[in-house]
Amino acid sequence: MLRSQLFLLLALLCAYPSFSQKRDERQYRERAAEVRNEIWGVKNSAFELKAAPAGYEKESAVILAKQIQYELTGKMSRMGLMSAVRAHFYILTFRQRVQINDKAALEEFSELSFQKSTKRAALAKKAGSKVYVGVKILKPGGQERELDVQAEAIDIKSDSDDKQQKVAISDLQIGDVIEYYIRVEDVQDYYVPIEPFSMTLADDYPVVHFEFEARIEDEFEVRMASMNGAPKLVPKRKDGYIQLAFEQKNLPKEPEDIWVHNQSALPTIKFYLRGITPGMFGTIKKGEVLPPLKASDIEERFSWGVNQNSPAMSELRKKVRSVMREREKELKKKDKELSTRQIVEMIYYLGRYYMLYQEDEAAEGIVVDQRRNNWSAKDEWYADFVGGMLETYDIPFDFVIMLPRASGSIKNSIDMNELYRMIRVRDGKNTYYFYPPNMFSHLGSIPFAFEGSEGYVIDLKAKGDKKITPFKVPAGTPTDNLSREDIQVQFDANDPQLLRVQRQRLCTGFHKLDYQERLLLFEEYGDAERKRLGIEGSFLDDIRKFPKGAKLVEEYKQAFVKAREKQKEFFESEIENSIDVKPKEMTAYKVVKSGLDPADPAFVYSSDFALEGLVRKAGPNYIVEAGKLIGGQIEIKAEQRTRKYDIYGTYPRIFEYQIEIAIPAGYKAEGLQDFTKNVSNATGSFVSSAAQEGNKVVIKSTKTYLHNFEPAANWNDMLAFLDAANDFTQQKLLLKKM
Amino acid sequence: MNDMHPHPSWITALFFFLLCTSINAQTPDELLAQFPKHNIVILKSEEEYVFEYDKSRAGVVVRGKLSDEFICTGVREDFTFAEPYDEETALESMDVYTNGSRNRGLQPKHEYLSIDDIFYSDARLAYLRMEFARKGATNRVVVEKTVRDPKYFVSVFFQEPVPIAAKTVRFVVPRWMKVELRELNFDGHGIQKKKSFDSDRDADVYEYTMKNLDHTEKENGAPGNTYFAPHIQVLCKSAEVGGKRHTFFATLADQYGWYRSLVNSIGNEPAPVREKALAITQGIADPEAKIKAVFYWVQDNIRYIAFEDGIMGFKPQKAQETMQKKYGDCKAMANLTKEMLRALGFDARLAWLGTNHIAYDYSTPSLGVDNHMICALLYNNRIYYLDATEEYAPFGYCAERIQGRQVIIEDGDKFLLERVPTAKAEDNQHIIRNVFQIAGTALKGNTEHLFKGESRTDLLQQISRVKTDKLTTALLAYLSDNNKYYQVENMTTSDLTNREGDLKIQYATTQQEAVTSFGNELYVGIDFYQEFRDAVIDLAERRHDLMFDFKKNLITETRIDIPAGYTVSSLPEDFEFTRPGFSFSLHFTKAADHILYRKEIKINDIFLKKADFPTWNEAIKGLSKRYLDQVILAK
Repeated sequence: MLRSQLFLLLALLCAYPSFSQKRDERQYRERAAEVRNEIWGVKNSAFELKAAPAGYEKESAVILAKQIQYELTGKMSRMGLMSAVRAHFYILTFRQRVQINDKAALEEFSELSFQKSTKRAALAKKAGSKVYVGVKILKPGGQERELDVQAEAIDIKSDSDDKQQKVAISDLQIGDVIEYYIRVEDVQDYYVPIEPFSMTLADDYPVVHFEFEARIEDEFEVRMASMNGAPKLVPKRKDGYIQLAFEQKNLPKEPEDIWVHNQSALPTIKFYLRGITPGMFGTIKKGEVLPPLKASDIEERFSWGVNQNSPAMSELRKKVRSVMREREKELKKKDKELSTRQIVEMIYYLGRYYMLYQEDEAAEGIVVDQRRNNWSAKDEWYADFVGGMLETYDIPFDFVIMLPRASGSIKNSIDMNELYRMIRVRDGKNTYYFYPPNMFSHLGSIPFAFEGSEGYVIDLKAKGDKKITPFKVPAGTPTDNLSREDIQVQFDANDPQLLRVQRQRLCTGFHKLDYQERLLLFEEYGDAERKRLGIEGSFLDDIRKFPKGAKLVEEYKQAFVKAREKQKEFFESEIENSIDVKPKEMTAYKVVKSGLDPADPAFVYSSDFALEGLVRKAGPNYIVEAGKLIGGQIEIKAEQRTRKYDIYGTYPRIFEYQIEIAIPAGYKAEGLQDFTKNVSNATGSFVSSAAQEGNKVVIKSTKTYLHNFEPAANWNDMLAFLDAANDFTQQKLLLKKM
Repeated sequence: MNDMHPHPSWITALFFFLLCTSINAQTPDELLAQFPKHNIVILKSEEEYVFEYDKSRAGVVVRGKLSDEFICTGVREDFTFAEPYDEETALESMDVYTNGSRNRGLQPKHEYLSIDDIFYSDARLAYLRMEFARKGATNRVVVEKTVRDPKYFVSVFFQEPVPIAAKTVRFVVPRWMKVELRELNFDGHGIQKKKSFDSDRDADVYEYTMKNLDHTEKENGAPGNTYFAPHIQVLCKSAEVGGKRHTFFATLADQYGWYRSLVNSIGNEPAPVREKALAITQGIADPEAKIKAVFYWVQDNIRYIAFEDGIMGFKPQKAQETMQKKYGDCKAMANLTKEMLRALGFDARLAWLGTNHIAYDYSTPSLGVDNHMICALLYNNRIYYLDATEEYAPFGYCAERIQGRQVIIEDGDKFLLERVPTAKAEDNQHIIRNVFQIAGTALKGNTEHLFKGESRTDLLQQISRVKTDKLTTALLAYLSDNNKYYQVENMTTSDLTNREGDLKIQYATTQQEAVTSFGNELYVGIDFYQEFRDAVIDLAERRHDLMFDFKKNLITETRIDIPAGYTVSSLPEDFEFTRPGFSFSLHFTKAADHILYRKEIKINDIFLKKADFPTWNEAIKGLSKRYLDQVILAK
């Protein structure tokens, strides 16, 4: 008896997954039906528009109506009787009605993929997400047909915690209107931060009618920003919910300009919600809709030092301090001590070495190829390290709080998590910035994404409103970011249409990083940096001390070999990317200066190669497309030449070329005057010339971008020098047989 | 004999065994020297396929056991092993032995296999991520699979994505099983074959051994792997076992018979199909016009979506369902075309074929031979092939991918074996005619493009995928080759939805910077598009033949008026390079007041074989050089 009961129990346990799957599926279908009625059961006149108004005939598709609904609740009552934890219930509905005008649009709207469900391990019951989809098609004759999505969908993935489906939309043709909704319902533990919500009021297709509604339970604090002409939403309150809603007609299409930041150009609404999250700083203003973070809010919420006592931090500090102490001891013998400058430099460079360069014994993989070159330190953790070290040395410091320019103004910031921090040390005339380093940065390097942006300085030791003050991130000048190429060209002795080129490029500032990441070998610069910092031994000496060190060293050496092979490939592709011509062969390549030494910060590399295709033959003469040696220039497409949005460039910069072409014996050079260009205005310049010096033609060109930002009104000025650079590339040199 | 202790000679034997295995196995350093570009290689691969009679299913099955021992020859790395399976091939087990010991912690994950362009397939992937903790670390994966029906056991390929140091593939074929093993693309791979008899199993054993097999690699424009990869094509013919005869595909009639049984059970409903066919052809009297109306309606209104779902990979969807859904795969579209035409009284039939992606033909009946279905129409004593998956294909035209391919056509219980007609390069002409004057440093004038055959269909297909509001921009970008110094104005085109007749584009051209002026001389670069310039094939890198998308015939005719006061002082030399598969010719002619330039490029054979690469490169180098030559006009 007992035995058979046990057997039954086992059988039941084994059967449980399929029972539970069937139950899940039943519940999914029931909920799907409810959602359908919720969305399509309520009349919404905007979604009754049957065809696009006049004026949209040339569009691929027209969005007749688009609706986004956002709902967040966090009450315990929703959890059911058995449950004792809070959870966040998040509901997002995306619905749109689209008129299909051509084949491209038909292709785009004829398939729909969605994440049917996910399950997460969490305290909350049923933590995870479900997605419900509805589709109907309206024929030009007025007939309407609804798809049975669940019957027509097929599985892409069917794991119990990750189900994905896709559906081919049946009976959809050009001229039809498709209306569909995607409803996401998500249950998440209350301690998981809520994702900020952001939407740009523009689309790939024109939108005739747009409506948005957010319903947020008054358990939450809402912080909201309306940017770049987006409507200012006035909250309404009803039944314990905050309601934010608006409607708009005729949303624009997204621009296709270059150098646009959507967050700085297009109408955007974003909000950030906070519930009762444990360990959160400051109090929650339940049920309130707050404006973007003010300086005082940022100051109030700011904290640092949470990582101070972690074992990894102690270990790192110990290593850095040990090298610094040695230096102090040496100096003490000479009755000297470390200057502030020496201290901050050692904190920066030694800290970087032990964080990013030295191998961690527990490291799982061997990463010493170009992937290593992309490593960088983490924001908050790094500030805690630097702050702790500065405190040890009694050096006062403060924090700079900032936002990348692409994210819009810090005045519209709604979420502390989107802000970046760096440490500032002021020592008399000198100011030092500690931004989290990458493998090649120098003390004071700040990424160009922040240059010229408005931020704040937080001085925790100051009193009252002096604690936080406005700050402008310093912006560089064109000369800080110089790229200079020296190109020596000779004609192949046997084939005058083959050019033998020796090219050396020097770059400084922001020009460096991309190329350092691709062209430098950790094997070489790692130990050079170590030596510069006065750390004894070598990278491999450290590895040798690990358990099974001797074998490991062999593996590392093997990995170095592979990295060197990749380096060669990177050098070859660098030539092609720079000159826009694939080199016929590369005969030599080398890194001349790594750019790591702060006293000699330029990155210099060179390569020798042969180029085909730039020399045309004209009877006994040759025409050299010498202008092409400065490589492809930014081309502005016809449709981009008129401009509405401000121009967010990368950084002020200079590209300089000196090209020396050896004139072969028996020939003379003509056409030098065509290389003279001189366009210079308030946004930048392109200046070039050519002259004969002995048996060489020397061509010089300089392209300068003066700023990282220009108002749209200056676009024509920019076009003037960009066009001049393009014209230069078309210029040719004639080598005439004498 | 004392059983408590092993016999000394047994120890000696074991010692020698260990010694021998270590002598045979290559060291990581040796493997690295052999395959320097790889970090993970297969040290030893063993595959065995056994034909068995499965009593429970009363049928023949094929049991496969695959064992691949991977070794890390350089730097520690994680590596993913994946094995596909589907409804016809069951994955029985997948075990990993890490450094010799069974790794129970590593269990495969399963995913639907997503293949380019296929909307849904029943193929799944079992995969696992193996860790190689150090140089010399090994992982041996053992997979057991069962093919439930020998019909679906069509080939065994030898190569893997990583090189293989040593491999054995064994087929155990009981004498009751009739199967042909075709050895394909063995040349140059040093594959040894040994046949023996296993009396215990009353079976012939075919064993193929090979060493240092190169890895597989995807290359752009490469033909399908049946053309070049060493493999065995398995032709399962019949079996006499379990007291009865099992016939697979002993003859092509068997294969057709199976297809026939599937299409007989489609379940087409004639009434709604007829109603739609009548509606489409309403008011049309001419029979050929009716055929076109139906064929074009299917092209335009049924979206092609590929399904490979079990038996539905071979059996077409019902015609009425395709009509309702407005989508389907090639079989669905062929079936609907056929049913509609039959409803109108035409003799339309289903036809099976393999596209040029597959090297085989029907002389070796197998499910691996074909991958496509179209509709064959017997009309006016001719067979027309209607492939509605080819958008913008005119009636009577066949795409390159099906040209010259063998095709089986329904004929009741019998079948017709035919061949799809082939086109010539001239049928796909793209002609460019320019009439230019010199204006400063520009060439100005008028240009006309004519597209015929596949070059027309190809362009129409591309145009149809562009958003209407971007069409002009896209066309200009295409015509100017994205070069802002080639300016197009006053563009007119023929109807861009018309699949019949030539596609014509005309415009006023300004080709900036085409003329260089030095002193009394003008230098003119006469060819703008310079097709195939620098298209040299890297002989060191390229492993496979090259396959063009279709036969090409590119013609450019340019007339340049000589400006007053100038004479022609130098013309580039003519260029001719003719081989059976391709030819290039550039001609320059001087007349009293103008220069004529004529270029003709022909790709007659879409297969460019590796052996022909040096000749091709020689042609391309000559062509590229000549493109750089300038016309000189002097005052």
